[in-house]
Amino acid sequence: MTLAPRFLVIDGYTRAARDELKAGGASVAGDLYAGMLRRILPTARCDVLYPSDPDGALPKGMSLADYDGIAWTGCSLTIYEDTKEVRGQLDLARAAFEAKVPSFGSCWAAQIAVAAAGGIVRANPRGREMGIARKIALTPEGRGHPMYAGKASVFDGFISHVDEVTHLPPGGVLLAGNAFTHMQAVAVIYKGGVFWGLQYHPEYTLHEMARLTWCRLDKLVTLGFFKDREAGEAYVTLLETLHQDPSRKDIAWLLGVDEDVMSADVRTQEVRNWIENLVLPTMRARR
Amino acid sequence: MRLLVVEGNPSPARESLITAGGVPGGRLYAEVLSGLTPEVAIDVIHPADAEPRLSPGTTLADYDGVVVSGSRLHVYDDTPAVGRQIALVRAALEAGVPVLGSCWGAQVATVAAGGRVAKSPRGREIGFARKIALTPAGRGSPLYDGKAAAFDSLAVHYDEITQVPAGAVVLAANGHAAVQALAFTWRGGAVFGVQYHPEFDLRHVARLVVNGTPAMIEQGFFADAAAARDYAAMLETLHADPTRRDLAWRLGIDDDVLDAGYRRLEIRNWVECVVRPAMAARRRRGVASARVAAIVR
Repeated sequence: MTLAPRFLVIDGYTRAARDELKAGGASVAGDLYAGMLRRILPTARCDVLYPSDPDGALPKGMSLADYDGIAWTGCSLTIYEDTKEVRGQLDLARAAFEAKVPSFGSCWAAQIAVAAAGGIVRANPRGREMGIARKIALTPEGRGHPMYAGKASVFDGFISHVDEVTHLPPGGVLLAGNAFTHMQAVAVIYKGGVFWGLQYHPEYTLHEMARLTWCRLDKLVTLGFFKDREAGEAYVTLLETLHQDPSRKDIAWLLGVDEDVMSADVRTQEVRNWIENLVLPTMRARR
Repeated sequence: MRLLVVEGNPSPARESLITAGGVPGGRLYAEVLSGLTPEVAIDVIHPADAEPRLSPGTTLADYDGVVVSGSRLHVYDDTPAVGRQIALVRAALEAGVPVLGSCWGAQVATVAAGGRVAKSPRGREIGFARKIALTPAGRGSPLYDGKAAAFDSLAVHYDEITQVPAGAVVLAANGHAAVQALAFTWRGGAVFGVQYHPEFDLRHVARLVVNGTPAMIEQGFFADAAAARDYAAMLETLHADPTRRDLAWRLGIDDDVLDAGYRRLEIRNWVECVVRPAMAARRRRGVASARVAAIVR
């Protein structure tokens, strides 16, 4: 049997937000996620849905239940703001739970999984966590969870967020956290559906983080991450240089990064475990 | 409280660090210990230079604790500077005096008690020892009371502990070194050893960089001398002004290393949970020199 699961990638960015990222040389989140899934599983078929677009819709003839896995990207929306886009994605997340399609995602995705199932998300009182989430430590539940099989108990991950989960929903299990963000990973079971969500971004690379930093440079200077634009530009160059040449030990050492963020295999272990433990068994059971 | 600080380095290594604006490890440790316990009396000895002599009328058993600093020496080298320090640690433990060792100090105590040390196959760990994770034993140890399950510290080493002494417990590890902290007793004396340097601060690391720039360029930590100067300057700036959040973020560090109280917590815990109870027990029994660790247990 050929393993050809069908994924729905949900990219909640608005068109304007996607255009801003593209203008700065960053990938559109949906493409980045589909690329990561295909890197792990070359046979993967991916449809990308843009639910914030007025004309965003599933391909003709497809329903949520036709997919073997749903992967949610990050998003620049704020989940506790009651807008049409947010309401639409909360409804979509509830429908995905009810359709019992295994779901996975980064950042906004973890927040929407929690909010859809009755948990609470608020602004992080520590502000923006940007660049690299350091010393993410597995909880005892995380250490025993299939999503973290093969992962170290303490690791770093790419990150960019201002909100955090403050209250888990019933059926939510905290899997990892660090000093900045109490909840860095969560598993939610709701209405029979399973959603594994990460606050950090296994789909990012040093290059994507460089582009995202570039896109947000003025804001990051204002927030105090950089003394001035020049310092920010120098940082972007360092990330790009290390991405081009991962053997630049001097830059990796200066930035304090290692294989946790530089090795695609280490970085995406959680995604691989999701596919192997939830997506492929779901697909086999159906066919 | 009376502590004996053992400076691990021989004179030329100390002189070189002083020339680069640094403070030798023994003196640094003495300063940190004085800050933690104002009533402490500290003697510093230099057994790497010559056979150590204690003050007249003093024996090792008169000390409440022995602290061994870092060193450039390699404990697997069969030299008098190494041999004298192994013998000294053994004598302290046999007298029942608790021993704390950082880096070389942990390694020399390990070898003294029958463990092994070798060059790390991962090369040199320098600057920040990242993602040090406590083992279950470490999380349960009073030595790490108040410390998070994962933390960063400061470090500089080539060698690592490859085999712990019989009965030793590994308290912490990270991706670079499988033994970042351990505890054991040997012939009645209790050892707490850390591979990292909780007694360092950013300024000290900056001075090590200045002192060791050519080697660090050769080892690939810096592209050139200018990069090393920039790095040392960044550490100095952040040391002088810990509110420079932009620099801390760029270096990927937080209060684990910027907050001196938190950084040195395991040293304080050793003083409060190992040294002080042993002192109190000894006073209660009115014995001037005793097998302290045995009494504590």
